[in-house]
Amino acid sequence: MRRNENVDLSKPTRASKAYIGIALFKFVIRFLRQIWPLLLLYFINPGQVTGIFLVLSVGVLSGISTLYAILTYYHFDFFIADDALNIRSGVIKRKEQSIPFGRIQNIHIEEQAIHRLFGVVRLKVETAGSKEEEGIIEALTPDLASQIKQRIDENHMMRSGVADAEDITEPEGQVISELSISDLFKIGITRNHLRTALILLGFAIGFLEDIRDLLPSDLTLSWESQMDKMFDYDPFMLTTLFGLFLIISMIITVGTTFFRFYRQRLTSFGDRWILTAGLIARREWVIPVKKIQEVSFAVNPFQAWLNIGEIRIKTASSSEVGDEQLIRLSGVHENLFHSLTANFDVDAESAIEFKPVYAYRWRLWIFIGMIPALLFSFVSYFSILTRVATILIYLISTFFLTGALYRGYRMSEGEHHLCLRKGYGWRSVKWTLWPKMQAVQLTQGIYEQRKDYASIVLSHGAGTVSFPFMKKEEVLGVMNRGLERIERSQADWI
Amino acid sequence: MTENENEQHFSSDLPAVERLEYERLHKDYRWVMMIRRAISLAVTFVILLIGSFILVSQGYPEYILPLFGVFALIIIFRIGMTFVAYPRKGFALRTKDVIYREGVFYYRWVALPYDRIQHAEVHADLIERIFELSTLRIYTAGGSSSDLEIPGLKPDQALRMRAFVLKQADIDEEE
Repeated sequence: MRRNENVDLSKPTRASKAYIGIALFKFVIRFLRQIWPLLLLYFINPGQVTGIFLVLSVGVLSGISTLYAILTYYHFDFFIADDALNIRSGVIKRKEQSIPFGRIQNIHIEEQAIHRLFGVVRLKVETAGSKEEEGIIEALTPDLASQIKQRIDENHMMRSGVADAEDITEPEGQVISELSISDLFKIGITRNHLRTALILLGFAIGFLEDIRDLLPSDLTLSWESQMDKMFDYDPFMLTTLFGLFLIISMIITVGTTFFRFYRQRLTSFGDRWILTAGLIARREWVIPVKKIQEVSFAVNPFQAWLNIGEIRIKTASSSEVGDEQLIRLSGVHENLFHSLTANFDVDAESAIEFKPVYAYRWRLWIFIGMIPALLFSFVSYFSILTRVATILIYLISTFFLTGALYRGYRMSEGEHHLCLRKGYGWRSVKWTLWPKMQAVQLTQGIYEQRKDYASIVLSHGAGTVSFPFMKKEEVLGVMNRGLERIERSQADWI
Repeated sequence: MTENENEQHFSSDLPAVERLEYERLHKDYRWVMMIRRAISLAVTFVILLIGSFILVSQGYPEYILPLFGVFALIIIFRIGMTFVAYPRKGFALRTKDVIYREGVFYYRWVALPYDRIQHAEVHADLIERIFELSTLRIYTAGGSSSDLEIPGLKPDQALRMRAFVLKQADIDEEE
């Protein structure tokens, strides 16, 4: 299996020859992205550009890009020296990177469709602090990639003193969760179709104008009048159209789900978890367990019905920004969330439960029910009877809704963890550890100050968790105990 | 503390955040606050002036008096609030954390443990420099949501506080 076992990584090594192909592909894609409006123009109105000119320019361009790709390949190499990964690249502007192993946070091995085609992988090294992308080796044979990864891992192990030789050579992963095809389908139908529908609608409206310009005018005229008629007189037709629209967007979301979550698998390797998912572009996320700041579980009503949900893992920020900090594990049962979090906290049983004061329920009703109702009562477009009836129905339904929402708020404070639940229908459970906290905050609005209530806001390395409207002495108690726990703990927090 | 020492601890003596004496910010900080508010109000005033010209040119001069009346009330309120807001601001340095509180309508109380601090800096903008004041900024890892700013300090006081905070942070790390 290990054909490349004897590669000496301390000598400058080139990437796989497939890099030429990948560089060419990237170059062409980047180029097409720049000039696609021009190409479109040509296809719509070919008269203005002569054929010879086109052939000539395509020929010259492909020649240049091939040459560029070959040069890119020959100007790229890497080697390991002085416990650092050194990468040299660039045809015109030379770039020499040296990434010390100590600074490396994560190593990703990725495969996009183009990599699959050539049978290679991309190795991506993430470092702390820097927001820029750095340390990308575009085309490597899988063996060589895992060899490099192993070198870096070994170094990390030595640093942290866990130099168990057997552990390093063959890390036996324990599969925590794996998606079946039926789960995949469940994720597909419970995802947010409305968003896809809106994007689709945007596209449709955008393109409608363009299409109409291309068609002969008498055809569009009759079409337009027909559309107008349909919208004016036929509610049945309209509903059908809407239904069709929803079905199309549903098919699209189910399709994209298949590509994104295909064979999603979470594997535990002791001090780190690895999540892999994807059909064509198979991606891999490495989650160092130490870096996890918050684990949450979110369910929407459809997911609740199918008994699945989504686990979201927030890690302390590394080089990649934004969404990458949030790792999603879809289509899993709530039990998995409980068993994952149970690993961290031994005495979760002794947790103290808190809930907001009952006044919070009225406050929710005022903001969700009364204020919108009051605003609606000024809308003079409807008759008095309609207005009164609508407002009554709205007030009553929001009264029950806010009651359910209020009952959904729960905070449990354990010796090591903090767990916050909120929501009705769209439920979420957030779970985090005391040693991860960086700041403890108490906030009070005007009403809270008068009634001696307070809210608590806790910040960790990847965001905040908050809980509203508790009695002030309860909040102070949680804060005192929390600060004591944070300050006592010797654990690494990020 | 060794294992042998086994003194009694009264629960009322355990550290509690509600029984703290807060240090006030320097008196001159009220002027800093006031000037900052005055500047933002002056900007609003210019916009209002342009608006009133438009009103006059469109033939609605009767709206100008109430408009400026409301604005005068806002000025009195905003400037008056600095006197109310100032005594609510305060900080406390403990052995293991630093605490800052502020706010009249929206009261906020933050505690930042020293061993979560990444770095601290002393900063002074133009208005603060006129009154010879500076601000201590304390940064934590990750998002900016947990960063802390203590304004209205004398420069040497701010530097001493910074040194103390960093020293405590280092000691905690070495343990």
